[in-house]
Amino acid sequence: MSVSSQTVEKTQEKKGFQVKFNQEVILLLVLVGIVAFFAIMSDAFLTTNNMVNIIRQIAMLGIIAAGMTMVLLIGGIDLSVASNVAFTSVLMGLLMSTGVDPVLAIIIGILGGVAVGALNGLIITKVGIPALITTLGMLTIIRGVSFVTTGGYPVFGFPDGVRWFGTGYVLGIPVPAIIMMVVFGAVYVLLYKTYLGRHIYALGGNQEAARLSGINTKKIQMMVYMISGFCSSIAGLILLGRLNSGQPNALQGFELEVVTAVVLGGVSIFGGQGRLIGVFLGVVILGVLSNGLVILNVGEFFQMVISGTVLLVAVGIDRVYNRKKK
Amino acid sequence: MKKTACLLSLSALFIFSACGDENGGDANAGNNANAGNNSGAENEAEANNEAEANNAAGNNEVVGDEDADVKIGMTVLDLGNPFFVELTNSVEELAAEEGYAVTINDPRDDVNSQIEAIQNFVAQGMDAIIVTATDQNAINDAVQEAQDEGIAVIAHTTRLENADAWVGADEYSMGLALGEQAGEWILENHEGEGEVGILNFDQIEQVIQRKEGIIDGIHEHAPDVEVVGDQQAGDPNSGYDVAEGFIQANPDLLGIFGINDGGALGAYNAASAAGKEPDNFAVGGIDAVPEALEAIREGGIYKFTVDQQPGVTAQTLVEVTSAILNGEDFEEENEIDVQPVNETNIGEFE
Repeated sequence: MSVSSQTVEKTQEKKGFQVKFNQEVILLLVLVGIVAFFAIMSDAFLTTNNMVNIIRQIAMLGIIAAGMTMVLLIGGIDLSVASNVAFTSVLMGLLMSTGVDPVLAIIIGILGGVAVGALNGLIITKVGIPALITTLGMLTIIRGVSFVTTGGYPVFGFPDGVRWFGTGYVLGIPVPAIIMMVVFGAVYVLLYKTYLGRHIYALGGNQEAARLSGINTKKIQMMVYMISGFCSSIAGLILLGRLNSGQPNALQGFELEVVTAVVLGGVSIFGGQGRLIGVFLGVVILGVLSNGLVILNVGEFFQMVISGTVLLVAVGIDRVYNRKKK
Repeated sequence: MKKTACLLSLSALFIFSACGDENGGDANAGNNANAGNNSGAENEAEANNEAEANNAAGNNEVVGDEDADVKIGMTVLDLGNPFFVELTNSVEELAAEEGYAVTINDPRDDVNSQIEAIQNFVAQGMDAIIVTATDQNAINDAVQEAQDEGIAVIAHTTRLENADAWVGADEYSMGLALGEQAGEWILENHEGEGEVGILNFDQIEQVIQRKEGIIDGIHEHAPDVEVVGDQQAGDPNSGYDVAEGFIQANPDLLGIFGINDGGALGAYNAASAAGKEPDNFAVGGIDAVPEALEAIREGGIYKFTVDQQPGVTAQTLVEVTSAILNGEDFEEENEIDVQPVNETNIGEFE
């Protein structure tokens, strides 16, 4: 994919205060609109209890989306994330059910997730297979490994403490939500307070220029895919606690929802553009939609239509608005 | 070929339903994204040696003696579902005893790859094909092609008009068996009235009958029960989210009943996390998967499931197939009894 100088100009233009401001305000307005709609339609929606439900429900999506944001920013994509969540939760579950110390099992699970990311990075940078194909292959392989190791059956029977990661609370806040906040905080610092973050944006804007200016592009790609794998494994831990079992077929197709959240948040699929705050809003919008439609007992088929429409409307408003500005 | 197909289905997903909510995403998974998931990947090469044509239709696994005189092809719905894992494992074992080689295909709920699989079975010269139809109308032509070649076709669960025989549990009875247990419990513990939530999977036609069975079964014993939620959830993660929504929207909810144990187990975890008590809240599913049996044994909120008896089903399938192939007499209709499972008979399950 060649990146012309036009795109670079566009990137600089996007960094101007006005456009940035508008993009996130549009998302915020969409969110407020949806929340208002659900609040009018149901008394059960806008309650403290339900807000707690929502932040717990979006935790896994948010954590994986934070990692995916970095991947899309460097112009890549990681389709293996959802399979990796299932893989790591099955790995942790298998180890625990065979009597391995839970803490050790969790550490091995996280390392396993990071290793999958590292393998993605290696294949992309050393072999040169495009990220879409590499991670598509990895999606298939690790889903297969999860099925092979479990024979297709869920694994269960762990120490009770594991549930804490999925269903516990600290000061009234669900543990998954706290983990998500920590992950978003860490990714925010990485992206906006370190050289790595600046290099990520530079790499996504123009890979060749980034390389010529002395940035080790391969190393950055490796790190980003490893971070994505790390995020998946953390989500895997939450899933394990939430379901109290390791499900080899969990979250099939979830990678598309993650990409949806990130794109909804304004990150360009061509890299270099987009902000983490927008992604957070994208995650919240998807979570609120999914929760509210269930509360209103809207049928599954309608839900799909509505969710897709919201994506196109939210991104569409932004595009039309930006075109007019020019 | 396969990669292209994956890419196409992926891009199609992006365009049409990229924004599925959590349930939507899961549901889509069954049809699209899964095209790339191989549960029997390691066996694929083996299968390919036997017939190149095999490649396009997903995952095939050959068991038993490949040079056996009698070859059986079997295509189910989704090997991600423990019921089908159990069923195919049992069929493999029993067929091997008869000296038959079985090729298992996993179409992952996708009707198109099931059609391809049946066509490949025909090309491979199978002697018999066992099929759990993803969609009875859509696969009719493929089944007819097999029949024209003189291949015996045995339908499992979903009836096929041009199959030689049918083996299966009736979907409606299966739902009824869960609903009746739930209804009795509601009658005893809630004077026969209150609100319940249902986890459906309306995307597959015959599973709608299962849902209707559940609701009718509840109403048989407790006619005043109101179904306040009816949402799709066929796996634990969506079951969890949907159950949270049900409980949130209906604080007086007394139970959640699902078309399979997968979704219901998610609801079980959500209800437990929401502090629901076993005395006045119940969750139940269908399939009698090990995790559900374990939960019933613990005596908590998870109270009921229904055993489709995969072992008995597999035995009947192999017996009927064997009878047809050997020109012996056989029953065309073989209904497998479903067995309600609750705390009173949980001891019968290992």
